[in-house]
This record gives sequence, C-alpha cells and structure tokens, in this order.
Amino acid sequence: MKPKKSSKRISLGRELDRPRWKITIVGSFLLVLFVAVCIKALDLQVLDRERAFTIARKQHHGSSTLLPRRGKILDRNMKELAVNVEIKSVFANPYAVKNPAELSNMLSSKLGLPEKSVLQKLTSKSSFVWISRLVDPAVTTELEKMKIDGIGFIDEPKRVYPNGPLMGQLIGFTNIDSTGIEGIEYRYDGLLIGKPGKITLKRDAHGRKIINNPGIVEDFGEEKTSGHDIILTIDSQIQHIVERELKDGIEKMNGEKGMAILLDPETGEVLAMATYPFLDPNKYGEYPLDYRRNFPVWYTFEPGSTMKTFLAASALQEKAASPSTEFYCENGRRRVGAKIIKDVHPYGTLTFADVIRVSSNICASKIGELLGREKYYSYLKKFGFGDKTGIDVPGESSGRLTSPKSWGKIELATISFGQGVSVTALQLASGLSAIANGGYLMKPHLVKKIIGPDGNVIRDNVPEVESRVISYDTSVDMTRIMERVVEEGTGKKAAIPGYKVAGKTGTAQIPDPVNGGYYPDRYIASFIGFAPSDDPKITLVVVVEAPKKMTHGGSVSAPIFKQIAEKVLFHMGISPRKDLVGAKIMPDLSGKSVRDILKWSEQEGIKVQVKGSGYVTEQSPSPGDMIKEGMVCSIELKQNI
Amino acid sequence: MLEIFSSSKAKAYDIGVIVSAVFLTAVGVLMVYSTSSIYSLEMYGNANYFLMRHAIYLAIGLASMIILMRIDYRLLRKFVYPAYLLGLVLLIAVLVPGIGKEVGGARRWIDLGLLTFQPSEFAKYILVLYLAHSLTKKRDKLDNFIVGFASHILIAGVFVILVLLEPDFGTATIMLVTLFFMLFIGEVKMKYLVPVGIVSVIFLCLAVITKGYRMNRVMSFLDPWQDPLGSGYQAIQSFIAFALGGVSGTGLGDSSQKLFFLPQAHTDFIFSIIGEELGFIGIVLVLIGFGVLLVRGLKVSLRAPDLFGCYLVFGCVILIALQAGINMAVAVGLFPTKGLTLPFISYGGTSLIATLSAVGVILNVSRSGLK
Repeated sequence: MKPKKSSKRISLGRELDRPRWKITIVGSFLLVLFVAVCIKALDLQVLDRERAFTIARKQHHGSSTLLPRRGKILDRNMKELAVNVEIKSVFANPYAVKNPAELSNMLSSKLGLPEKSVLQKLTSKSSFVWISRLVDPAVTTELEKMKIDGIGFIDEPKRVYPNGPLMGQLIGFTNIDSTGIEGIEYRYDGLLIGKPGKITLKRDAHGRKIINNPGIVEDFGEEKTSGHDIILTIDSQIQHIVERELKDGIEKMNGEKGMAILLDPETGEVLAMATYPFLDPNKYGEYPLDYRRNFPVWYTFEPGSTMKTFLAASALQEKAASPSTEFYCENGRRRVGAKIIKDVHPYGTLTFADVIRVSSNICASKIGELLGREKYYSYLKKFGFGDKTGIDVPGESSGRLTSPKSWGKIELATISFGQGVSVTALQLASGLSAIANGGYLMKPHLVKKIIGPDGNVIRDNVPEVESRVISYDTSVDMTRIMERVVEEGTGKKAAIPGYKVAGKTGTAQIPDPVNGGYYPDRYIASFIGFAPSDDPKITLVVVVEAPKKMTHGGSVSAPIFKQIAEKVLFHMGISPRKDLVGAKIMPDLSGKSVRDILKWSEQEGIKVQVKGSGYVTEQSPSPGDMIKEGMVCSIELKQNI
Repeated sequence: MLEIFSSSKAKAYDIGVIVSAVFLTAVGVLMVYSTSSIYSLEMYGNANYFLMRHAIYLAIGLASMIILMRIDYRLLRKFVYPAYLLGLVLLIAVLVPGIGKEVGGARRWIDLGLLTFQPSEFAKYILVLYLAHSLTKKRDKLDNFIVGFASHILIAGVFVILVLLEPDFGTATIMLVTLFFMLFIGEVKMKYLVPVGIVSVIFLCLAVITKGYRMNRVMSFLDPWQDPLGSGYQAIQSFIAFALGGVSGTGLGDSSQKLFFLPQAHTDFIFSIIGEELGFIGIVLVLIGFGVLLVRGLKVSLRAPDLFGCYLVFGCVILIALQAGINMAVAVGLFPTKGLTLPFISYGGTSLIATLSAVGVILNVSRSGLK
C-alpha cells in the first residue's frame, strides 16, 4: 500500500511541474479585462449618462405632417367632380432599417426610383423619411407582405377626377402634396385643404411603451381636419353637352381652339364653362402648359360684330335712336378719317334693327357717332367690359378697353363694330345676360355652396346684382332685334325649332402681334345669344379660333350654339312652344266617326291609319301633342261603346 | 481501469465553478426570454419561439455536461484525432453552399431542421483538446521548432483559416489568442512565440484592412460618436441601453432598446440589455459570475492530476472567459464590434451546448484533482 502510494506521489510529483506563474499571468490578464468592462459600464451607466440620453432623445422623437382629407368638388346636383382615394405612401425609419444597401436595391427596383437616392434616404439622420408617395397599390401590397423592418405605410389621399377631362381646366388640379395649383382647386385651396395632422414616431426615451410594430409610427399626434366641400353652380350634364357639341363643331370646321360659356341670365350662375382642347386633370403633367388655361375667363379677343349688341343697347337706352330709325349704309364703303370702312354686302338705307340684323359695320360706326365716345364707353364699362368680372376662378383677364380720351374718329368707328377692343367670353356672356334678364348685370359665379367638415353650410352664394345697365323696355327692344338676327339675319343657323332665340354673330380678324395689323386668314368666329328669348333660361357664348372650312360666326359658331342650346333646354325640361314649331296640334278626336276623321285628315293634310269601325276610342298622338312632319296618326275605332 | 472508478477518494466537484455556471445559465434563460419575446412575436407569432429553442439547447448542453463530468477525462485523449478530423469535415462542410446556411453574408451554420449547428463553436474546443494532448505528448521535444512549434501552428492554423473563410472573425481571433496562451503555458520557447505573436497581430490587422466592414468597425470603435447612425450605430445604441439602465436598471423585461433599436439584442448585444434592464448591479453580478468561473477554473487547472488535464481545463476556461470578456468589452465599447456571443447567456444554440460541455470537462477534472 505504502510504496504504491509513494510511487504515485512521485509520478504525480514529476507531473506537478505546473506552469503556475504563467497561468496566473493569463488569468490576471483576463481579470483585468473584466475589471475594465466593469469600469466602463460604471462610466456609461452612472457617471456619464447624459451623453447617450441626448442621442436617445433625438432618435426616439420624430414627426412628419400628415395630409388631411381634401374637400370634394361637386356639381350643383352633388355629382362628384373631384374626390380622394386613399393610396398608400411608403416611408422608412432609417434607425430601424437593418441592411440599407440591400433594401435600397430592392426598393428602387420595385418602386422605379434611382437606387442612390433611396440609399441616401435609408441612411439619413432622421427617424422618418418618405421613400415614395402615392404608390401603385399592387406594389405596396407586395411590400407590406414582406414585413420589412423600418419600412412603413401610411394612407394618403390622392386626388381623383372621376369625369376625366370634363371641365378639366375649370376644376384644375393639385400637386402631389395635395396643394391646388390650377382652377377651382387653386382658387379654393385654403378651404379645400383642411388642417394637416402630425404623426409622432413611436415613443420617447423614457416612455417605454411596448408596441408590436417595428420602429414604426405610434400615433397620429395631432388630429387632421378634413377640408371643406365646394359645390359648384356647374351642371355637369350641361357641361357634358357643351363640351361634346363644342368639340364636334370645332372639328367639323377644322378649328384650332374654342370655348363656350353658359350662364343662367337670372342669377349669373355659370352652368357650364368649357375650353377646347380638353385637359384631363388626372394626368395634367402629360399636357403642354398652355392647355391649362381656362379660356372663357382668360382668353381675350377682338369680339367683332357681337359688340354691336352692346352698341345698340346703349344707343336705345340713351334714346340716340329707336329700332325704326333709318340709317344710310353708303352702299358698302365709307371713309372715316384716313380709313375706309367696308360692309360685306353693300346696303342702302336700313332701319336701326336691320343694321344689327345684317350686321353693317358702316351703320354701326354711325350709331357710335350718334351716341358719342364718352357715352358709348360708359355703357361698355357698365356692361362689364375692360374690367374683371371678379368670378371665383383664377386667371381672369380684364380685356382691353382704352379710355375714350384716346379714341379718334377711327377708334370710335372700329370699336363700334368690335375692333380695337378685346374681351373675354365671360364678359360677353355676362353683359348679354343683362340684356336677357331685363337690364341687370349679375355677378357671374361658379360656387354655389361651401360645406364645412362638420356638414354645416358656411357659404351659400345668392345671386348678386352688380348694377342696372339698361331699362326693361330697352331689353325688350334689344331682344326683339336679336331675335330677328336669328330669324332672318346672320344668325339663322342658331335657330331652334319651337324656341325663340335671340343672338348675334361675330367674325373678327385676329391681330398679328408680331407684324402689326391682322392675320389675313385667321378669324375668331363667335356667336352670343340667349334662349328661350321670351323667358331666358340660358345665355350662351360660343367662340372658335381660326376655323378653316368656314370663318363666319354665323356658319361656325351659330350651329354649335344651336346644338348646345337645343339639348340643354331639353335637359332643363323647357318644352318647345308648339305655336312656334310650325307643326299641327293633335285635336281630341274621341267620339268622332270615320267620316269625320277622313274629312279632318284631308283638310289638314295629315296621314292617318284607321283601325276598326264605329267611333274613335284610341288615338296617337294624344290630344294636344304635336304632329310632326310625315307622321302617321293612328286612330282606333269601336262600335257603340 | 480501476482508477477510473476510484474517484470516491478524490475531492468533490468544484463548487465555485458549479455555482457560477448555474447562475450565468439562469441569467441567460431570463434574458433570452426578455430580449427575444417581442422579436419572436413579431417574426414567428409566438413570444416563446426563442425561449423554447433555448430550452432545447440547454437540455442537450446539460446532458452533454453530465456525461463529460462522469467519464474519465483521460479517455478524451483517445478521441483527439477523430475529433480533429470531424471538426475539419464540419468546418469545410459549412462552407459548402446548400449545407452551410448563409445569414447576413456569412456561412456559419448548418441547418438541422429544428435546430441549427455552428461547427466553429465545437472546433474551438476540439482545438483545445488537441493542443492539450499534443503539448503533453511532445513535452520533451518542445524545444524542437518543427515538432514543438510549427506543427501546432499548422494544425491550429487550418482551423483558424477555415473559420476565417466563413467568415467568423471573432471566433478566429478567440482561437488564435487561445492557441497563443496554450503554447505559452505549454513551455513552447518564447523565442518562437514572440515572433508568432507579432505575426498574428499583423495577420489580424491585414484581415481588418482588407475587409471594409471590419475597418469600419474599427474606425467607429475609435470614435462611435462621429457617425452615430452609420458605422457607430450599434455602439451608440448599446451605450444608450446602458445609460437607460442606470444603477438599478429599468426592470426585467422593460428594455426599450431591445425594441429594434439595438440589433441582435438576444445574441451579440444581450449584455447591453442586461445593463438596461438589470442596471449596473446586474452588470457587476454577471462580471462576478465570470470572474469566479475564471479564478476557480484556473485553480482546477493548476490542481489537475496530470498535465493533459491542466492544459485541457486551462484551454476551456480561457475560451469561455476570453469570449465573455471580448463580448462584454464590445458591448461597453472597449473593443470594436465582433460577431461573438456571450457564453451561457446569449441565445445561440451550439455555443450553449459547447460551453456547458466545457464546464462538464472542468468539473470532471476538478473532482480528480489534487487535494
């Protein structure tokens, strides 16, 4: 036992040659490391906490504004013209992004953005940064499924115009931040936009709320408030008719541009306002800049003969002439100062009314002279020329009406037939409405109502009289004169069966701004009028620039006027006057015999188809309805009822 | 053979090693749950996803520990060469696409379906086993450059290079430093060691310079505040966590940094979350835990019945303590960022199994040790 033990001792003893001091050195080295860690931790946790806190506060706070729901734009029948759809925008919290290089590569290909800029955003020193706004929903759905750390999504409103190009220039459009930059969107931006809200990132360094969405928005700090809804005076169905017929008419004549404006003469409400070529505000970026102009308020032109309407009204009001006053038209040529004034067709003596009907420039210049430049000028001003109407849409022009002090003989003469003065279509429509409604200049307006986010009406626009321009009697005389223009003058193509229409044609050369004078082959063809002239419901101005096939207002614009007015009146439920149609009215034939029917049809020259025998029990058309030309009336008879 | 079972006359397992290992493991379970639950919920819809996995690794680790506690540690010498070969095969296999799972640009893991396996965690201990065996066996020829020095460098170098290829710079560093320490205590001549130490440092520097991200880590380590959102981000986030914790911490489970501000909260930066939730007190306790393990472990090494046991325990203790020290030093900003886990505590399956196995070996030797 003993030797064995000692031998083990010995063997152990030899092996007991342990590297004691070396192990101690290594152990001490590691212990020093532990102590160093301890000291550094003490510094971080107890001695110098503030430095890290400063950074922490910065990173845990972050905010960005959130767009509120933009107010809608509606037409007078509450049809939606501009609405919002919620589309997702992609943002990032760069602090929570794990692999910016990889992520920027992926995002840039999915979103079609340059990789560099995405990487820059993902590595920016902020806790909130937009990656892409209003992204295609298919893409955001895909990205959302990937659940990427540090990438989040917020619903943002995107402006959508459901009617596409319908009154595009009038409604205008917004940019990506939902700020209106044209049209109604621009004019009423302050009301439409609402109050933006604020989002705050997650939590701050000391508030330790636990959430289950990585590094993302916690709450919407300030509530956003929706914008106001704007209800226009526009009737989008009327607008649709106006645009369709305007386009048709201009295309038929190979015109370049055109416009139309339709007012309610009683109230000054704009029922339609169209600019051709059209612009679809949903993709406004694809159009040239000059397509954005809202022509009826912006485009100024020399009106030509339509101006004679206002000359005549002024002369009648001033009793400078009566409708039957006779004027000598110099057989087509008249020298005024150094200038020769010509008429298209030479005339001898004409009454005042006929001067307007045939549109004699020579006699217009004489009427102007009778009236005198100061008077004429003051009436033009009263009718609203030379000033903005103050309509609530941006980009209105005032036109050009120089002071009468600068008018010589020639200027007075030319302004009398609409040269040397420029106007907008809106001014023509507004001035004409004063003739149509018995003499009141109404303030034209586009907004009917404004409704606040809480549903309360904050503005309800009522018709506003600007001034009384002419007397009722003058308006009646003028209406009669203008009706004759349509019945038997230059505006025959504006006639609508069954309705009385008052109007005036205009054909003016376009001034050449570069070479002076006028273009030889470019005209503004216009027609202004109102209907039904015995109880005016609409004032309509149609202007076409540079038509090629024909150039005269009576040939180019009057037919467009007719097409629009006829359909609009029908849409408004204004029935034609039967006595005007020239058609026969179906009498009540019930109880008549076959012989009576045949006698009646022979007398009236009406075709009938008779069924049965005895006495009349059924008839088509019904009593009181019109019998249109070529129509066959069907009559049913029965024996002794 | 009798001696294997005559251990009753030897002393009991080292109580210091047991207590510190159990304490650190318990902290690990708590912290893995705390740091991973929200992340788990977010990623897998189950708050216990990581905890459950951690428990499985823990069970395997404990089983391995108990086995290694009970056998005669000298038996391990029989497995030195097969183990080395196995380590070699696994380290090569993990580099093969399809076998090795690529995560964040590195192939360090082999996917076993339910669990993943990280060969380098075992390769470290295989290297220690080999060195302990070889240094003991060649004890009389250590003066010879080829036998005593170059052969060890070559054989260990193969492992280190394979690990670097993954790439796993942190583990490679640990392996190199441990190799150096073991050759140092293994009586290899200083005239060889000093040049090799210098060469190793140059080698590490080159590895840093040639890889941009490593350079960034070093630069941001030198001044993390220069670019707090870029390369200094992790360091700064870690600092914030420590600062938030203060002396007593925010309370278990109440970290706000783990909510995605601090990446890898449940693995590489778990120490920072300990700092935040348990405060400076928690930090000191964990440091004491590792300190006790280090001191008691080295004592076991000194009292080992043979040189093999001495070297083996020394290697195991150094591996654990070195990795822990570096991980914690990174967290407090003393070292540049490395992808190293905190032994016992981090979630990280293979690491836990390997660490507990090493504890088993230490305990085994402690019981057979000299009075």
